[in-house]
Amino acid sequence: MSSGESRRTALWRDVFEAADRALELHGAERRAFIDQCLNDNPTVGGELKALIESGEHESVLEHSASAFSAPFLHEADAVGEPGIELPNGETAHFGAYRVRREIGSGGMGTVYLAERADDQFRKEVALKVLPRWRRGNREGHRRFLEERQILAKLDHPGIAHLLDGGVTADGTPWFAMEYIAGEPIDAYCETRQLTVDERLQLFCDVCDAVQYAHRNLVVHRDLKPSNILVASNGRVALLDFGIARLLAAEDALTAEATVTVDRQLTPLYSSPEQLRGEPVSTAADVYALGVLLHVLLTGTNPYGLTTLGSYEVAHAVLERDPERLSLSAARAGKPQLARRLRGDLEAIVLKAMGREAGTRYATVEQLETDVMRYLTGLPVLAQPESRSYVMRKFVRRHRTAVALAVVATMVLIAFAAVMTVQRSRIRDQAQRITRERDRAENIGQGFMTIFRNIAPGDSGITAREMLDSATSRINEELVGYPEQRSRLIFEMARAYHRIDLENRAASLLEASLALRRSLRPPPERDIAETLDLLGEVHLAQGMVAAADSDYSGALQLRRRNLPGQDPLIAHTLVGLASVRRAEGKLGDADRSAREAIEIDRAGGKSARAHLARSISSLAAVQFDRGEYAPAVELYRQSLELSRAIRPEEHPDVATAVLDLAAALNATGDSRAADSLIRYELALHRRVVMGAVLAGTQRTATTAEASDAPAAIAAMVDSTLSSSPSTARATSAPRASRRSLIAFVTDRDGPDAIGNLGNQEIYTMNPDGTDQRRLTHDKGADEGPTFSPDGKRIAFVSQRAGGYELFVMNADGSDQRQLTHFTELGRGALAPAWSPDGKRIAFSTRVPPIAIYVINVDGTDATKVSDDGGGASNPAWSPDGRMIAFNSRRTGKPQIYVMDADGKNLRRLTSNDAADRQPAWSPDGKSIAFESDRDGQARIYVMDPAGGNQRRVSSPPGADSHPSWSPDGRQIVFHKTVLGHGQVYVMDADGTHTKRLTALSTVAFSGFPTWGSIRQ
Amino acid sequence: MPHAADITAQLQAWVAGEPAARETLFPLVYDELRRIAHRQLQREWHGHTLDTTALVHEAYLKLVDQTRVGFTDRAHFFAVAAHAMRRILVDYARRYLADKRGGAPRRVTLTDDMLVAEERADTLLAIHDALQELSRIDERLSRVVECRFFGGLTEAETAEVLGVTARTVRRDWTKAKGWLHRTLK
Repeated sequence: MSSGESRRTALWRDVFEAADRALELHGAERRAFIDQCLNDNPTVGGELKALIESGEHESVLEHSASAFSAPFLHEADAVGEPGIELPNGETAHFGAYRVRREIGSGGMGTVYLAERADDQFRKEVALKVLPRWRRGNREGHRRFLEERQILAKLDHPGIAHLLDGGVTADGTPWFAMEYIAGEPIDAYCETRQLTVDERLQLFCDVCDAVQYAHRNLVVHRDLKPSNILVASNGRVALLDFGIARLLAAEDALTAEATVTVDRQLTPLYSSPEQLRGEPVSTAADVYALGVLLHVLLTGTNPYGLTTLGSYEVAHAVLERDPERLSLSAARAGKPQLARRLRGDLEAIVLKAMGREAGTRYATVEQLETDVMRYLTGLPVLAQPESRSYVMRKFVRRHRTAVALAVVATMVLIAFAAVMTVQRSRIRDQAQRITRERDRAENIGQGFMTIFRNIAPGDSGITAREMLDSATSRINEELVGYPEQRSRLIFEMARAYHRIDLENRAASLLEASLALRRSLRPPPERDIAETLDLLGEVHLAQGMVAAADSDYSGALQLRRRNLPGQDPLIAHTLVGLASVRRAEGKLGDADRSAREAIEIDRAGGKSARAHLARSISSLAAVQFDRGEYAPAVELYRQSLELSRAIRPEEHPDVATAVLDLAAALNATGDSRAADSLIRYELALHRRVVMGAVLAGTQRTATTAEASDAPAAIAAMVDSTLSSSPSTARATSAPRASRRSLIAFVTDRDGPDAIGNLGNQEIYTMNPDGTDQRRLTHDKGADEGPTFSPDGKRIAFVSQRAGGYELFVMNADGSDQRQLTHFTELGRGALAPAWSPDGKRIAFSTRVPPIAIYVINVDGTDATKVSDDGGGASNPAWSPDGRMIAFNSRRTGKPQIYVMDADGKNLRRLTSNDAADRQPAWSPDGKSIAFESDRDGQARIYVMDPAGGNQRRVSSPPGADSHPSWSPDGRQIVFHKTVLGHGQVYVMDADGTHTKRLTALSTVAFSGFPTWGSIRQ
Repeated sequence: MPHAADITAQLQAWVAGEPAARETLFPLVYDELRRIAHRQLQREWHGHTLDTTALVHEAYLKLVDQTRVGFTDRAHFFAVAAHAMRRILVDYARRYLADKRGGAPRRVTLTDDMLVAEERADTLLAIHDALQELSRIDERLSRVVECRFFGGLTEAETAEVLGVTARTVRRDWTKAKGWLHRTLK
């Protein structure tokens, strides 16, 4: 501040101070005071006099600013910016768009800021036009259209999406994209001085978008900060798919090398294989993301380069290993940051930037998962020395190997079957030969492309992605061939089931079933086959009743169509035995298993695989009965049979070993169990180190091999403490429940109409892992609550306009709307299940606020509370007789309890703070709730009569929405720190508080509730 | 409204003394207000007044979970809204002038109600600039103008936001108006 300015400031401060005193005086007293001031200091006094006179004068400031501005607002709102004339006399209009100014240009096109000339909303768009000099060039033309086609495929909040496209009268192609007013991600991080965690969170958003593109078989190939913008609201958007490629494009591999050379690569973000002009897969994007992460975290490039000339950079990328993060940070003079980055984050970046594609993370998802794991404090997978790293890596690889082999074989067999049918038709109808052959070969080519993409050595695509694209291909290309389509869909479902994607398996099976049932005559054997697998899938989903009816249907059909001793009947019987076990009908289960064994025994040698399965089914029944010694004996028989016919590394053998170990453990022979598992793990290890995955993960495997004994020991520890089989052995038989936490987050970005956040429902394990999204609608969803058996989730959703009550399965399927309150001007809030699972209590959202109870089928909505004071946030007592809630009948919300029919109202808390959100503990002896009596909202606990109120949660931030764990030992809740809400868990006494969801600058996660899932 | 719970939580965090929460809140409120203002302007006939109070209230009802907030939270929301309104109106004024300006001399006055559109836009920008200087001399005075003039807050609401008495707000308001008159004269 200059001295003139500071003098002026000092003067005005004096004047203001004097004015304070003058304004407290009136009439003659005030005049006298001002005269006094004039006397003491003529400058201050003079300003004081003028200030007070004009301050009390009428002025435009008495109006509101917008009223004052009214004369120009409409015009300003309508005017936008004037259209501009383009250089070279090109037209400034493209379709309905008027160009305003150029915002970027490159070899692939010029980008303008434009707006709809005919639109009342004056939406701004980014308009990309093929540059004039490219127009005569066929390749340039093709690439331009390909970018347009790629963008049309992609619909993700993290990718600027395509709005429109066309060709002008002179043949110039153009397209309009969403205009992102943002800054490059690196600048965004620097100007806002984001913390390391915040940067990582943004990075994860980028990964989400890239992952989405990969799922759609698009590789971006040019990821760098200037192509990744962040809007002021924190939304990340990928731009410029100008050199992106469709993986399945028929010429992808051949065209690659030439294409890569002809454009300006950004060497710093280019993978070594890109620089060498080799074919490029999703692994190139993983590499670029690694570089990006390095740059975002350290602010410098990963090679310690001071100049970024193309030659120097390319040389470094090809010849040198990237620097560790901590070294870069130290070099940049940030020693504290260097310490912070040392360790896990370094390992993550180095793994992403592996020189050979095969040494990098196999997918962007894995990279992102590792970053998330770092954020949530879990050990990262990139750290080779971590025990859990070794174990998890091992299991995952094993699974993928088996799944891929199985899937590939099945789809190919199914495909061959279809082709045979096709060919016989072709013979019959000579005139269709050419067309049919082309079609058949197209389909075949499609699969071959997909398989080529997952072949060992190409780490780009997962089994799931492969299945997804195969499925859509089947649906597109086999229209008109219901029989073949039903067969292929069935095989796809089986493949999904193999890799545990039960939802997809179930919906495909339903589709296959519907197709098969529509055929005339209905193919009863095929229908039985579909039902049989559907039963297995439903059982895996925990839908026991559905599985029961599937298996019963399958059994009926198979008994009608097959000889009495057919192994398929035994197969269904074994499934039925599992259902009966799940239902607790052990007598019935026993009978089904024994009948299956009888059939399979009669089948002789060829039925040994089936026999192993049916014997193990009987063993499980014995185990459930607590008869462990006979169970051990049966499991042994089953294992022997499996070994006789399966290779040692087959999953059936592994399962049999684990089951036997569990039974041994239950008899008290833990040493035998232990050595069995050691043996088993040693076997698996051999598989992993075998040829199956040699191509992609050679380096990692070799690294592990040197550490084999320790790794095996680690695996044994983990397996004994966490495998489902042994867990079953140490707890009570059939006590197979697991718990999950449902919550709400808007991390997926804004909805279609640009609402600020679009809350979706997720579930996660109680340690924060395995976060899964259940809802995918455009409106906000909130208040998810598990039914008592854990199979359904009630929630409210705004998808239909107002907030209405919905229920869905715990995996997100079968979403149904229960209320239609919006018509009444109400809307629903805070659902709570009755302990018998038959009714749901909730409150209305708009006054008059009251509690309603509705049947789960949506019938009979009854108001149970009075309207007084707005009763909301109901919670049933575990015996179902009472409902606790909060109500403001005395002003601030307080906790009350009433009988479930609304009678007998009692007040539990009496203070002048706000108490709300009661949650009953599972044993019914405590109520947790939220109160701000200490100035900030915290979680409190009291007994059901309101006695012994005590605070359990601690600063910082504000805490709300408590929910008890099924065992009553922990409470999950919502904590808002510095404006960012996340899900936390603590022991019920307030100790051991831990965050479960990832910190974010833009997204919030909240409304957690705990559920106990019967399996 | 999606996000209502989170916006409410941020609002409360700010009220509870976490200044960072305001930074998160501001862009959300700004976007919403701009959207509502744009819609109102599209809908209303030319020259019709944009009603700040109605505007801010609409944003408030849309963004904040009514069941969870008290008077203090509400006042603070309005303060953020006032700041956002200031930015929005200044943007409009700039855009308007960019379109109109034909070398005409700048005319700024606070006393003449019959100003034409251009003079009003100039005046609004002048007030905006002057407030930036005022905030260096006495930040509270500029915030009083922001709340009262740009945000349409009452004396009591302004007092709640600034944590002072209504009487102080009245004194500040007189001083600030006086200062603006002197400065823009």
